[in-house]
Amino acid sequence: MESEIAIEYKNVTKRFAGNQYDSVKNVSLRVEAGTIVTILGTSGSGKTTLLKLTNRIYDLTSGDIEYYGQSISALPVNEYRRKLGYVIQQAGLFPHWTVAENIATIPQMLRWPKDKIRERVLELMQMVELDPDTYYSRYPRQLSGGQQQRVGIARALAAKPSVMLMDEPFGAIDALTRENLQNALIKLQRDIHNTILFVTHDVQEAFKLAHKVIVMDKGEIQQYDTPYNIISAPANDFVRKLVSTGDFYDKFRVLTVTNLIEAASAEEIRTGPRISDQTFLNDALGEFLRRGGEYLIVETEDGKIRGKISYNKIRQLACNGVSK
Amino acid sequence: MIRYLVRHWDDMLYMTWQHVQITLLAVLFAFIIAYAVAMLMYKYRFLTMPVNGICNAIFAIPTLAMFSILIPVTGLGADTAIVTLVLYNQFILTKSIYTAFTGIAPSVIESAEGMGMKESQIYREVKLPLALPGIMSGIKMSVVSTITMATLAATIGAGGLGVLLFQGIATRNWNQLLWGVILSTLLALLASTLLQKVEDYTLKKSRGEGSGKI
Repeated sequence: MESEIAIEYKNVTKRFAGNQYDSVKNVSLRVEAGTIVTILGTSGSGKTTLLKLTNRIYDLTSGDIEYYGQSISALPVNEYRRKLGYVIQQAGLFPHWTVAENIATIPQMLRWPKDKIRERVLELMQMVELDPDTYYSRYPRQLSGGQQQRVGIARALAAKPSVMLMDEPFGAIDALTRENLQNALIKLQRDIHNTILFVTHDVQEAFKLAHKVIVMDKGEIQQYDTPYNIISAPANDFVRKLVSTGDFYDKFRVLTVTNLIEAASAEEIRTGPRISDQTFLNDALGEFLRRGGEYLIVETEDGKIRGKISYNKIRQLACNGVSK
Repeated sequence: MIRYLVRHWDDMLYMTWQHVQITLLAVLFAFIIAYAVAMLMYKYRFLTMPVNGICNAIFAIPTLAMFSILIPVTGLGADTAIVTLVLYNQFILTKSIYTAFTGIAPSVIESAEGMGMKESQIYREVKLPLALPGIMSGIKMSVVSTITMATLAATIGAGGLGVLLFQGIATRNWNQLLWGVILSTLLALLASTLLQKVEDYTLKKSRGEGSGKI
């Protein structure tokens, strides 16, 4: 069964006034509901333009974008935008509003009752791991960059948008904090199953977060596929070059065990140590190094067995490079 | 000196009141015009250069020359003084109002738009509170410099504290002159202190201090 399509791009083209070239060129793709899709590219690749076309900050030159089957140009712009979460690099928090007021921006606009707003703000602060007792009444300038971005995410999630657009949200944040935020985002998305379109120029970040990656260059899509497929079968030289930077370990940090799962026997399932199917390969490798052993049993969050992953498979992958 | 004060306090009070009146009217009209002009510049950036050029040029005209240009049109008296002050104030006010708005971080406005806030909402709830300290600083400079410039209004019969100064010099009445100096300086200081307080308050608000609403 095909899953629901949240956003569909149909021959989307954008040329800015005065330019001789298209910033986004004939882009057609579907974003499935409930997935994280990252848009990866260098500056000038058109990745941010594609995102800003999606929430109508920019107008299309030609083509169409559909939101759950409806052409977005037919929807009232502000009402449509309130259905999308929007997170940008500098967070863009309102400096004269407290954390709580910032998070409540859209609920206030939608005139939710006061206690419902308060309840939702508290819930969201828990979700992005900010202690309400400490931060509820703080102002943005009293927060670190990472905390500000957590508020930015909470604010975007406030009215339960089905789709969240994120424009290099972790771009200006130090490496350690960025990793924390990435993990928090993955966990959050797994909990609430929203759709996320996430622009980044960081290859690691794009592959780590995504169910599917859009690789863009010069306004065109170079490849749109799962991280594993892109790494194992780059569509062209551009993509090959992009994914060949770094050693195998870099790739292990962004690929999960999902693609290496094999069938496991009943005996193996009974005795084998368990890991989550969301485990990244580097962590699985660490697990092998710690425990010894030949295989680990892979299970889903709610404890369903998906099979096993063997040490040999990981070793092969490391030796031969990631290929099919 | 004290004797002069005792004998003329009612005149001096009246002149101070005239001075305040001229200043307030001039700044009020100047602000209304400058705000509209600044908003136009903010919306149509290409206007910035020509508007600044014109304001600079007007500001460069000496006060007495400006009076003589205007007297044939608006006559002797307070009208001419106020029109002159309104024109000079464009120099300070358009620039400070314009930069107060352009100084707002683009990311703040972009996220407001991206969240689906209406233009009027963004203006009222985001842009204005954040621009307010800059606007207040402009008003402060404008009021203080207008108090100073308005002393010249006495030369064309518009009254105000300038009367004490010019009469004092003409009749070598040093007591009168001194009172003119003291009163106009006090007025400027008082205005500056009060408006600084207002500016500080708006600055605190815009930077995020104090307590939130929810």
